[in-house]
Amino acid sequence: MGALRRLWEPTDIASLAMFRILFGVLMFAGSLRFVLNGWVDRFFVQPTFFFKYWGFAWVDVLPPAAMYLLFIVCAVAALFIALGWFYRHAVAVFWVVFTYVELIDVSNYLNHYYLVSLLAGILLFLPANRMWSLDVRWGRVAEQTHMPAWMLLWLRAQVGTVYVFAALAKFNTDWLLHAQPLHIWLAARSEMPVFGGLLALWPTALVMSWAGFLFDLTIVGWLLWRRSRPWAYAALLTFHVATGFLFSIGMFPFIMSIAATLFFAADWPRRAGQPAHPMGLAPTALQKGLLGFAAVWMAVQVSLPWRHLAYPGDVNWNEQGMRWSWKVMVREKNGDVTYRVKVPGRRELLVSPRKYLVNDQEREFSAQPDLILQLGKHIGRIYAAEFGQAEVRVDAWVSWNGRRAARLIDPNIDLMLVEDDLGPAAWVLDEPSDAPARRNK
Amino acid sequence: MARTAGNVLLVAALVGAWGCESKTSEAPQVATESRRAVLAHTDGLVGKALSDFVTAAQTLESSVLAWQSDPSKLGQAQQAFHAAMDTWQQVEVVQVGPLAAMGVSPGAADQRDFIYSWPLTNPCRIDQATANAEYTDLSGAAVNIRGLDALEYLLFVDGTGNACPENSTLNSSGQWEALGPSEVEARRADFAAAVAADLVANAKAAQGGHSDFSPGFVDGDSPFSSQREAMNALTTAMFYLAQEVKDMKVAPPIGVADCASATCPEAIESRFAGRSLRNVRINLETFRAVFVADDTTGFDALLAEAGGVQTANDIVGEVDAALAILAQLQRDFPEAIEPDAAQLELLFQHLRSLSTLLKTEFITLLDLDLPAKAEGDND
Repeated sequence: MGALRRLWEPTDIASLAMFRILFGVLMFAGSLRFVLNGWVDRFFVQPTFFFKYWGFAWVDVLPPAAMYLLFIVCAVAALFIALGWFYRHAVAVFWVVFTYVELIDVSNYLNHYYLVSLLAGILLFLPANRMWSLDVRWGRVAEQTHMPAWMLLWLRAQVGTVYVFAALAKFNTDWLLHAQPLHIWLAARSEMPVFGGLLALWPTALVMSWAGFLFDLTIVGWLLWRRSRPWAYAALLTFHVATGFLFSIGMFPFIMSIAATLFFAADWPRRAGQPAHPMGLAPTALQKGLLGFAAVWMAVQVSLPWRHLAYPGDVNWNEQGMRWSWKVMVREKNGDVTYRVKVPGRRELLVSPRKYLVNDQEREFSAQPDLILQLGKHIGRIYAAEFGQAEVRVDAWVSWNGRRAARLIDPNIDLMLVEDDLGPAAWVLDEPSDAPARRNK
Repeated sequence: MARTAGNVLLVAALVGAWGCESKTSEAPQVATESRRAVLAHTDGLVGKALSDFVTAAQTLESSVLAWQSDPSKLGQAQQAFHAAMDTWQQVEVVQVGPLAAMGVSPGAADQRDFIYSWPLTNPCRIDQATANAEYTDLSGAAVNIRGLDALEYLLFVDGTGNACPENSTLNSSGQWEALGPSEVEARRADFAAAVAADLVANAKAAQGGHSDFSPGFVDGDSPFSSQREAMNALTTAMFYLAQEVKDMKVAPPIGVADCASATCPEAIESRFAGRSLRNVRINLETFRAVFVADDTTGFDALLAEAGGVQTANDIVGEVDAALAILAQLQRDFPEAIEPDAAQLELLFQHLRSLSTLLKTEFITLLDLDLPAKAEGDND
């Protein structure tokens, strides 16, 4: 009961309001960046085939002009979030539009896009506009200095989940014993000035692998502990600056850097300036219901990353349970896929995925069995429409963390007969058993 | 409120510091020795090939001019064409910098298409341009009536017919028939002379463009933001072997892919000059020369450093096996399609294996991005 009561203790709302501002500004910049970089065209206009999420096959891309408009809407909504103006409407619009865009094509999946959807989804239910907002200034809502503790806890739990499961994803021999794929990635960046030469060394990769693992595993605790917090945040910024500098991971370092402020004291944005005036908060029925919803939300979030245990084999190879699990930057895979199509009266035809995919899609799909299956079925349907029936098999070779290339999918299986469901994929072959490559010098 | 603003600025500054930091990655950087050696070695090959091509293009222009004034000298012009094409097929495998297609890699300027635009070739369009005498000024002309591909058609096409469908305006209006055989021959020679002159200008421009581009390429400097980006550009170019050679030059003619019938002779690259497999051989030889550097560091040594000795050996093995098959073939396309079907199938399989090695182990071990990714966090 004591713990439950603490969930309702008044907590300063300043940290949440600040997060709203930073999140809105970042999403505004991110949405504009997508348009200005030509990525709307690259990811939503140029492709003619889109990979569907299981259960979301009904999500279709809109015409080009509408897609551009959506990103503008996203940017405007993000700006309104930052300003706290028509906040609830803005965050709802942002969440719907952003999530819709992410659901269009699986090959665009990124963990940090998923995180943005989740954070926007949570913000939708929190009173983040009750301070430092135009809604307050112009009387749309009453100012509020405090909120129930569980609201901040919800956001913290969501962000903490990312770090903890990112650490658990690194708890494997490739990462901790062979220092792969970090060894490959760092060696390719040995041109950097001053310490570039060190990056080519295997011990450097090993040390950084362990450092990354321990960082992800413990950073939430260090941030929550008041005495270690300044050092922890400095370390966090250093970590994200370093990864952002070394790798092409877009907005991820920014998002995590602002999300980490949620672990600061709830009054951190105004601690020395404006003293807060706690007031009693009597939980309403709506708030109680919302707390229940938050509990279910987090239960799902904590459960989803474990689902790979329900499947045989290594998730980093077979990808079953890979998405929505915070397996961030844990594997380097490159594949080569060629479909073999058999139609009546013809020799077996080889079909390149390039005929149906743009470069970005081809690179992403070539190591992901469910996407290879989706395109295989699509190709099969096209040939079946022309020739009456079609069998589709695939030669899918993948090099994983520097290992010799191995077949990912059974080449004898007719993909047209494979069910695309959530069960274990018997048509995906076991991961190679050899150790990953190591540099000679 | 002032304190609040200060805190906002602090977080913004800290987060913004990352943005500033990432910009420094675009500054010129010190190249590692091995990669620089690979880039320098390749750059030397490209520079030599472009220089040779300028010379070959000038010889070709002279020969075409001779043919223009003396129709009996067609054979010499055709020989000069072969010599120029031999050189150009070396460049095809290493299209970096201004030669590369726009948007593919830094510094790209589509220069290649003005010299050789295959597979955008269009013989019918060349005949239309011949009939309309559009060749007097080629400076603003489309790429499919310029360059080696246009010259090949003009020098090697049989007879004085045209490549357009019967119901095309060129035929249905009687425009082509009105020209008559001698006028067609004369115009084709005039056209070829104009294309040859344009080719020389474009060859010199390509050579000049490469000279400007070369230092940045070797050092991973402008237009590249890093040495790794230069390596990505080079590797993207070398994937010509997997895409153009395997999937376009070999697969469709023998009917294993992109072919609606049993075989597709119409998809042959240099079908008028009958030198498609000769092109493939030169492409493979050039790839090998880039990959294995006898007197300096090549990709093979780079792979060995990355723990991929076997990968390097396998790549060279597949190239050598493909070259051995090509050496055994007595005929080029299209004559070889039927009698040499088994050998050609084997050739294709070696190219497939080579392509798989490049797209998997090669890319992974050297951590190359093909194509350059927008961003990622899950690989």
